[in-house]
Amino acid sequence: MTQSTAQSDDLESLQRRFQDYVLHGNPAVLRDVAGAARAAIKMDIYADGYPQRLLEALATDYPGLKAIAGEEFNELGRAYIAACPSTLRNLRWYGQNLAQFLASTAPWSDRPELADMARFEWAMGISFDALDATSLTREALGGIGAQDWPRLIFLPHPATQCVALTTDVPRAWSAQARGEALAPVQHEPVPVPWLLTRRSLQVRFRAMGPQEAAAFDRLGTRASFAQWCGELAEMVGEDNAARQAVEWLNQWLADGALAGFALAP
Amino acid sequence: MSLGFGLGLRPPHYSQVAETRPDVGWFEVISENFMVAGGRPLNWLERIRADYPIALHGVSLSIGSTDPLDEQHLIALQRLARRVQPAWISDHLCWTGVAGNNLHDLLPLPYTEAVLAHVVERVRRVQDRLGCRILLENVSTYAGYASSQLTEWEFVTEVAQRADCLILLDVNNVYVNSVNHDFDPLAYLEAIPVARVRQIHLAGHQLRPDGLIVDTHDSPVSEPVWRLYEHARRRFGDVPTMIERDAQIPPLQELLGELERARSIAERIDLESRTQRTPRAA
Repeated sequence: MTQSTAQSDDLESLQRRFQDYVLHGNPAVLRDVAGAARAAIKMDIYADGYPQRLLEALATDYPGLKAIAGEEFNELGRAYIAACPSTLRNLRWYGQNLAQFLASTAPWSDRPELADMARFEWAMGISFDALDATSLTREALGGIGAQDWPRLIFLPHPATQCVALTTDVPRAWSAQARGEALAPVQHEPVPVPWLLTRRSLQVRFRAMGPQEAAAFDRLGTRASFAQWCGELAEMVGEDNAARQAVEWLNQWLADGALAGFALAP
Repeated sequence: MSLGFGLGLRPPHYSQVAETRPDVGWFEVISENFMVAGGRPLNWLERIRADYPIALHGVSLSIGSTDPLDEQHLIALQRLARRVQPAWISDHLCWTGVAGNNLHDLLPLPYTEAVLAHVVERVRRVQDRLGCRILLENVSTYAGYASSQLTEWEFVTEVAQRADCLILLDVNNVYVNSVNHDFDPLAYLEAIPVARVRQIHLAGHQLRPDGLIVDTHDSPVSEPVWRLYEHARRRFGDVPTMIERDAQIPPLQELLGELERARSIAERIDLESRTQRTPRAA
């Protein structure tokens, strides 16, 4: 072993002992700290600060979850922090697995609205700082020749998100954002798909019917317009397909859910 | 010419800054907050950048870690720098995690020759990668190491000299550490090479009942730090100076008031310096 490798190993060992104290309370690093009498007091500033900072990050990303969880928020946050040490440079992404954690970890898995709210708010966050793109307009579509329409492939806007929820947490989210008192969260008989879009840098959301959600989902898989219309006819019937296609496309254009189009070969 | 007096740009003030264009020389932003694809944060940043110089200040370079430098982080930083064209790029002389973890804190390094060599080599690589010299900030520390062989100011100085990087001198952190580790903060300032100091930070802290001070950035700059800033201004001259507030963020007007105090201190010190340099009439 060269001298520099040995020195680097020394630093790495020290850093691991320091980190072990912060994450697991392992006291081995206390021998390394100057001033033995107060070593634990000093190290505890780091150990106490770690979960506090992550909890603050979660509270920033999940104000709706904090509102519906109430006093339980800190407890569920600390459980997530203990189960999922950060491996990320950027705190922006630390909460990415919270919905999955809440859905699969008792006692929070007994309250599906918690995982639902986390799923909804994470999708809002993704939409909030997604790549910028100009939304597709009716005027832009007006320039497409009739012969090209069957080959059209619509491209969703990068900020567009779809999320299926088993509770009406978006209503609770809106109430907390307005500073209103929260009504009890209602459970849906079947999962409700929600469309999240960004217009004028503002994230918006609305519920979709199951057929609209299926149609939008199919459109986002680069199906050609001809294919999509064919499948739409199977879904809503030949007689209704054209009217339904126009209605939904107009709605998605108004939502800003689409960013552009391409022509299939 | 110095950029003068700046503020840390924080979300509660974005719209007011963009709309009222306050009398501030420049703004510093936390780099990681803008390492996103698009949307409102970058939109605000670009609007404000149109009116003000911007400094990029990172919190997760982890220059002192024994983990490899994070390639993705450097790519994101380069991309942001291309977009913002910052006045300079800074981060902290510390480590933030090891073995793939990140504690999201500015953690202390032992001040030894071996650690010095480790850090210097990594600073050089980052500077080569970014194509510019970076500023490294002295951090507040609560624990020090029995193995340290150098003082903190010797370590900071040696990193800057050997890696040919610049120093972001946080006067609050010098004061915090002088209390936590019982040294003379003036001796610290006197030891830092003037030519390396490119920026000064001022911030608030909290004194705990046990006598330790925690660097909280949640309150106004304290009186001892203002006094230390006077010494810093005398020694380092017209260095761009800014106030950081990251918690309990007050109205912008309050921060502008604090910044005014920094300006008036600087004007008084500068006037004193000019008076002392002016030869007396015979």
